[in-house]
Amino acid sequence: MFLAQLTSDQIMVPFFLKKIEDVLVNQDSVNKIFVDKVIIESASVVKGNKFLYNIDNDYYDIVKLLIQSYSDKLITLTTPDREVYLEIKNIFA
Amino acid sequence: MILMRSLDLKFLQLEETLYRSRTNSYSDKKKVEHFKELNALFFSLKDLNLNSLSQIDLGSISLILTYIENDIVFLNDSTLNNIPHELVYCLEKALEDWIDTDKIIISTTLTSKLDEFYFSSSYDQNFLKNLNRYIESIGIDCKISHLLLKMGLPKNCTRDYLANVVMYHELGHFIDSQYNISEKIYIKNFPNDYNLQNKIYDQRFNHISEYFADLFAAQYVSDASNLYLNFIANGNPDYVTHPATSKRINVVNDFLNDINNECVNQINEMLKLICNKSFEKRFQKISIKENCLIKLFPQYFKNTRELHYIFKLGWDFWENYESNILHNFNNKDRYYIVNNLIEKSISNYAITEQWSKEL
Repeated sequence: MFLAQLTSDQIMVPFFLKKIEDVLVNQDSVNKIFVDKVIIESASVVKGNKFLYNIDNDYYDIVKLLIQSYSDKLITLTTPDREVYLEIKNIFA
Repeated sequence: MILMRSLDLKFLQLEETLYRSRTNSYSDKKKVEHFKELNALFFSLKDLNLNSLSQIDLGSISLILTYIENDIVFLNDSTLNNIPHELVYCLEKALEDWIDTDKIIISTTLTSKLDEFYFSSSYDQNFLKNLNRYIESIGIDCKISHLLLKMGLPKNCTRDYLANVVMYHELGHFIDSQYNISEKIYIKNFPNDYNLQNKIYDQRFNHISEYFADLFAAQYVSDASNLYLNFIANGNPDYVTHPATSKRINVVNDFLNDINNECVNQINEMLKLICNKSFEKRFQKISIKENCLIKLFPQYFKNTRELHYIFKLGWDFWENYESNILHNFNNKDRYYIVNNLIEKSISNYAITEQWSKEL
């Protein structure tokens, strides 16, 4: 038994948070594309428009985490905005 | 919340680990290069002014330090004298069918527990991509080029090819984890009641994952991996972690005999969807006429598909000793003869390939 262990999706969290921070602070357009894609894909899964198993592996781990911790908001989400970025940042930080 | 003192401790521990590893001799250039890259990344991180960084950056740095430490520990175990080169060679050949092996390094660690075979990477190619993007974003001029795979096998089995054939099964688990195939089948089959956080406690997920690895191995070594499985887990019923041995053997036999099997179909369907591949027989049988082992010569292989088949050929040679030349030897000698012949056969093929590249 391990004292503590990170799962593959948890390993990706700090990098994802950094991307959100870059979008919020530096308006980084490349990271915005990635972050928006994760949020939109997660919303599609929660709304039943897409299957989780169909999510591209580039986003899969983070999408899994997001739908487990943010599905209440994702179900009504239309477009990712600053408020959504901040909420997600606070959930994972 | 990342505490600065904890991060300081991590830096000190890792610096000590790196210092102790500096004289290691590695068997290939990729490992040397990987060590240098990890070392350079560590000292670049150490030069950062941590007090000026956000909590998010500190979290990322903590994660990267853990990553460097993990890889260094495995590189330490994978020095020149410890590696079962012939086995690694075969596994690398199998890996080539699934992943760009130029970016992969196989490291080996010898375990003290009997039957402790594993093949793992806590990190995947996606992690490496994100890591490199992150270190570039904070102005560090370093890059990590290779993903380190960790292969563990019992010390007493490094030259036991009848046993370490199961590393093909373990390699299957690694490929599965890279593409999330079993997990995605699980999600597809049980869309309403999966709990990904606890999937390792879920028999349904574990069983898909074991079938995946069994079938992965069967692609290369026919039923040789199952022959060893049947030896160590004969008659085992369903457990949370593994399906009953008889079920595993049946699924593999169906695959090998081209019998329609729902488990094989599901895996192939998902493989096609995720990486446009499928399980197929990637070995080539060696006929009795061409079988050199029965004459006590190392086997000659025409191609890689025959190379993989050596494990099955070796098992058949071992199992049928009463009707072949091995009956002239005692059990202990038989064991050494079979394993030495397998090893020499692989080694000859690897060396010939190397020569032809150099010509």
